[in-house]
Amino acid sequence: MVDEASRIRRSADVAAHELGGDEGGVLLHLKSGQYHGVDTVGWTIWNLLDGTRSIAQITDALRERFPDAPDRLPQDVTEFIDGLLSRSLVEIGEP
Amino acid sequence: MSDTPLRPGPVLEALLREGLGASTSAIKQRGPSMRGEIDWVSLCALSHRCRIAPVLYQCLRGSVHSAPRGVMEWFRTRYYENVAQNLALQNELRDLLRWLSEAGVPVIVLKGLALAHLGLGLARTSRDLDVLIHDGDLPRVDAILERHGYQAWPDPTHDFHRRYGRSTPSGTRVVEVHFTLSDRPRNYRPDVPGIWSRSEETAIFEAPARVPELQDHLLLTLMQVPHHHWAMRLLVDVWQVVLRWGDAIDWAGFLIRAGEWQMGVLTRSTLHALGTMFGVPIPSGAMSTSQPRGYLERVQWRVARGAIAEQLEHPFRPRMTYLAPFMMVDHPRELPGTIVKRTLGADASAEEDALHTAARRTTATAAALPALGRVLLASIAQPRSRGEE
Repeated sequence: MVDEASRIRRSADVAAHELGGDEGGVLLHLKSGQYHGVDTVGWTIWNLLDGTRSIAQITDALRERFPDAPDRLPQDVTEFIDGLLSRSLVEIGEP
Repeated sequence: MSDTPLRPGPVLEALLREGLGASTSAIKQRGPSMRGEIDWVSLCALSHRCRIAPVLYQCLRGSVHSAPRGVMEWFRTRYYENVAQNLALQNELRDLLRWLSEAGVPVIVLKGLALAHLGLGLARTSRDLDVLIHDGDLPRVDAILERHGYQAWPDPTHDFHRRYGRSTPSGTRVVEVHFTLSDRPRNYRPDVPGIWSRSEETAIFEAPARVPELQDHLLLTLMQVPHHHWAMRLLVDVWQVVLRWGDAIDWAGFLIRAGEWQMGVLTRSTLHALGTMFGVPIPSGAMSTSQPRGYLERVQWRVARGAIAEQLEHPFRPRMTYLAPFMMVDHPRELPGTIVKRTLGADASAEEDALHTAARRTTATAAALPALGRVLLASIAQPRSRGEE
């Protein structure tokens, strides 16, 4: 489980591709072969996960980009990142 | 509105025209064919069979014809799967090129990802990696691949490449290592030294790579068309190259080079078919040069169009599709020998004995004869307009 101060980085074992338009992107775990589709918000979060930002900073960046985001945005972001962690798509820690 | 569901072939054609880019007149010309109930299940099956479902998904996303939610979900899943597959291949390509580069082995990336890079991006369906090496480097490449977990597969049917496979948790990775490009049973003679000398450095999805020069690349793509039975996915590749890079192609020089490779008939008939059947914007000069000349070419052109139409109409009962590859020869004197050689089973595979090969091919040739007979008769008459040939 991560908290607002956690810093998360993308796993080196993941290949990612933006699909364009309103499609978001696809994440492929190269070792397991499992792939995942993420929507545009998920793709935005994925690109912010460089290990230098805390989850709170990521949430702030998202709120700037999506001003109409719901109040529960911090919770949604944390749940999304927990989902990425459980699938080994990201790791805790700075790069 | 018609009560009869539209056949999937014309719908697929119309969606490709609309989505990939065809001349406006071609889109308008086919507009009325989209009126009526679309048989979406058949369309899914056909696009899957043609290995262009991810491309069709992109076409449908921008189309005025809205597909039912479940159908779009099916196409979206195929697209996502394909992107993931291509990401895995990209990763494999990066590794492969690094291994070969470290060993000082020159390599040109062919087909698959190199074509995706030129046109459709990750919507293009690719199952393996294809690279060209100098034939003298084969033992070294063999050792490098073995060291990295690949095993050579027995592949005696082709004398121009060797296949290697490697098991990974996400499936088997396959590399085809071409040590020449001549396709002996079909008489095509690509200029391999020229391909090497004209090849260019680029980046394929950010991986540094050497690829064939654009016109060589287009000819090599066309050369695969008969080998893969006029597969729509290859025609879509040609379509995309023409659309995106047509201005950079010296069409007169390109057609001369096609003739030098003994691919003049194949190249001209395919360009002509793409222009007349799909509205692909082939430049007028190239289109004019691609008109059939004389009776035999009218037959060959009709056979090529018939093979393409079969992909869209009844891909599981091909007639022309079988015969067409052997008829695409530049010199008529080669025609009987090529058909007889292929029918009687020369170049048989290790998985099938020569008798079975000969029986299977003779049956296929016999099944194609009625369709060929109709073409021979229809070609006697001169075409009234360009699109009718």
